[in-house]
Amino acid sequence: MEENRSVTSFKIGGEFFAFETQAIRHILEFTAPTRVPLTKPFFKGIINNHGNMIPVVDFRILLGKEPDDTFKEQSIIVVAIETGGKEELCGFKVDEMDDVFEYEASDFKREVVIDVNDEVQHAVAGTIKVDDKFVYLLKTAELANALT
Amino acid sequence: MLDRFQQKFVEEAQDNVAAIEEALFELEKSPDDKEIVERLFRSMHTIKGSGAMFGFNDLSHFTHNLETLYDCVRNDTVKVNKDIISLTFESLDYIRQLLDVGEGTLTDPDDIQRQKDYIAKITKYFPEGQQLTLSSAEKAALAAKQAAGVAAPQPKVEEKGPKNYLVTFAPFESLLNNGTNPLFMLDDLTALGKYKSVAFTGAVPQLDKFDPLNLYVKWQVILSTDQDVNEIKDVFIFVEDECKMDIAELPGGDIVGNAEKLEPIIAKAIESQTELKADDFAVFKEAPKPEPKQEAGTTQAAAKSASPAPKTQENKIASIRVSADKIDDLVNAVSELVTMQAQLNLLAERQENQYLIAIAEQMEKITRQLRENSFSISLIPLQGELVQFQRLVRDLCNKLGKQIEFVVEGGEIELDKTIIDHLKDPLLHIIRNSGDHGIEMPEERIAKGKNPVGTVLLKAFYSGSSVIVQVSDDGKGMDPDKIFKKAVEKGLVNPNAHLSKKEILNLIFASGFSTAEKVSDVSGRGVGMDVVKSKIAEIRGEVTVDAEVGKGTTITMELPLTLSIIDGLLTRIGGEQFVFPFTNVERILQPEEVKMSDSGMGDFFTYNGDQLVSIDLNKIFNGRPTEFANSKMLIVGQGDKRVGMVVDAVLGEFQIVVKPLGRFLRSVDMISGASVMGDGSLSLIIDPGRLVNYFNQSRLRKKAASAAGASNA
Repeated sequence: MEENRSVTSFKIGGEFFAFETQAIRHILEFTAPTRVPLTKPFFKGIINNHGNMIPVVDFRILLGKEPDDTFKEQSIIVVAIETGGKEELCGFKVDEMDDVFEYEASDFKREVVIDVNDEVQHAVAGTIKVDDKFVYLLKTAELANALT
Repeated sequence: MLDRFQQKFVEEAQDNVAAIEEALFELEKSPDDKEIVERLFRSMHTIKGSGAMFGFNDLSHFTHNLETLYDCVRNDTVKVNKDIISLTFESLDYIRQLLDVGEGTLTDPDDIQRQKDYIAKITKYFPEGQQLTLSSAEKAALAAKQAAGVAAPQPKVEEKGPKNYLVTFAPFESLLNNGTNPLFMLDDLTALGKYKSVAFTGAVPQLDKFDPLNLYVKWQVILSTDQDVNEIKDVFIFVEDECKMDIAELPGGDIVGNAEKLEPIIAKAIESQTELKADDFAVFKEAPKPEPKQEAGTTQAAAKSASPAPKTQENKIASIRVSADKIDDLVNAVSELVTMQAQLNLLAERQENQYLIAIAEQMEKITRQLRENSFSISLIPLQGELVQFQRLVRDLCNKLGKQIEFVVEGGEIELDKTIIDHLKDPLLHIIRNSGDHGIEMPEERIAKGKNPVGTVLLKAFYSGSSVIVQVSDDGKGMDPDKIFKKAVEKGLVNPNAHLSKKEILNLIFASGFSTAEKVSDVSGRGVGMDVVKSKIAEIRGEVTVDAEVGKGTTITMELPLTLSIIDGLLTRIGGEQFVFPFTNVERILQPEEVKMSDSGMGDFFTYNGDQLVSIDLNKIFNGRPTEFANSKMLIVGQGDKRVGMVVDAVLGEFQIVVKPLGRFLRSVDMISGASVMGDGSLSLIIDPGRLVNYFNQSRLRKKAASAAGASNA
């Protein structure tokens, strides 16, 4: 395992997911993206972030869950994803942010007990046990495959 | 690590190497052209001299030998032949390597031996008796001049005895900034003969205004030398853009030694801080004969016309070197400005303030001008990149024993530098393929009744808002049957598929396809045309191929003119705003001007006597048809094809800053990007050509599906 064990977690329905903190570029309040036609259903559209166009993925739909826009604290996590030798930014709409924390190597397990799309399943590196909750750690590089 | 000056030297040296390479191609065609040799010599001299100045001693030493060879060529003691030119090309590669390594001095014994071997190859061509200077490179700079002087007793100097010159050297204040030490140059100058130098220090400011990085002094040297006036010029060869320099011939006789007459003249000049003029030395004229003066004039004129120095000097001042990053920053800033401008316009309109509106309009004009100017800066002619292709073809010929002529048409066409960057590798690959696979061996060509010399033609031209770059050869072409078989073998295509010849040929762009039967070291490593295609797609370009068996192959790349700002027509389709590139929109029709006819396969209408397809964008993007009576019909042209596109409303003409959508949305290729509007909303930019392709394909799919449905029923 690498040294850096800082992760940022967020909530989708009753489940917790996390990105490595160092991959995160911005956390934005949710604003309705501009829809782009003819894209896959999980693409909500694009937003403008300091003049850069960032695609926004509805994490619920990506996971294969029903869309739900009723959460008050909806956020967009902008993540840097290494793909094809270049860094691309992608936003993920989540129900709400959870926490930023460092985990102990002993709390990390490769086993993943989760029922989601195959593509996303591949992107889950493992499970972190924090107190009495389980957080699924996502690998951005693998997630890129689910998006294209 | 290279310091700033060394970095600058490396950049400039690379330019010089490129210049030499270009000149070599010309020399190969006209080996007797002295003007070309002169150019070669000057570039080599610059590399050598500035190399030594910045600590690239081995490079300098190596180039010195090369320069000596060309000095002999210049003086007709060595005749240029193909071997020498090949050797020079090789040497240039070696110089490039030395520049890449970026170390001033070689340390590895192997490297040192290699350099020795190289030099030995070069000195082989030296005429008998030519002194080979193996002294250290710093000395070499000086020694070279002496060697050159010895080897080349200038035939021009017919008069016996030394000549007198008044050399005025007035460096710009900035001369020190690039690491030049003017005293070294004066040393070089005074080494040419007997001298008397005068320093003018009148321009040195008070201490509180004194900037130690600036140079405030100018010099005049009265020089008595046997050397040609060109030798004097050579001393200042690296700084000719950074100083005012003048060489005037003075009357003959012993001026420098004649202190009695000379001192008062100098004292007077220093006192009044006025430069000495040739006229001041009239007292030294032995007899009142007009010839010497006239002579001085003509010698100087002749010297000027003989060496291209004044010409290049003008060129260099007319253009400056700016780092690519700075231009990117400029273009980005202008893009931001255009966005802000849109906001200003919107604000002015909302406030209904006449003054503000007038200012906004003025600003808009200036912004547009600024935008056009800054974009033209980032355009560079294709020409600059062509030398390497020429070189590639030449190397291919030597390696493969083929005879190929590389012809360029439209090299003056300008493209955005980002596009050129993306174009380089694909072009190298395509040209290499043409040479390797396309053009046949000379015997084979003769047997086929072709000219033994094959041709690879690179042609660039404008077509609407695109630039077309075409590479065609008159080689053996491509056999569609063979390609189809190969594609089936590789599992790229269904063996039962019915494809047109064009579709088959374009299979070569499929990933994992390489037609080379044998893998050669020149091409055919399996990665090839698919890389070309994806590289070109990155800059929103298209690449297609056409070929005729036995006649040749043509690869056509269609590229956008610029990438970042376009004039666009803003429209509304459903709830979103979409932009059409203005150059593609021919007309906007009101619904009552359009008579639709439904032929059962889709919607058509008549425009200017042609039947055009009508594409309802609401239907494509949102799945529900547009209410036709409230819509607008755009006549959109792409190349010679036109279609009608139905939108809900036309909102106006805007300058549009194109922002890419990124990799994750690349599959939506009919949308080429997005743009931030004045009110902060986003609009999507339509690529009409790709949209039409998408429309045609989805229509075909629907047709196939409904046909299948009908047969099932």
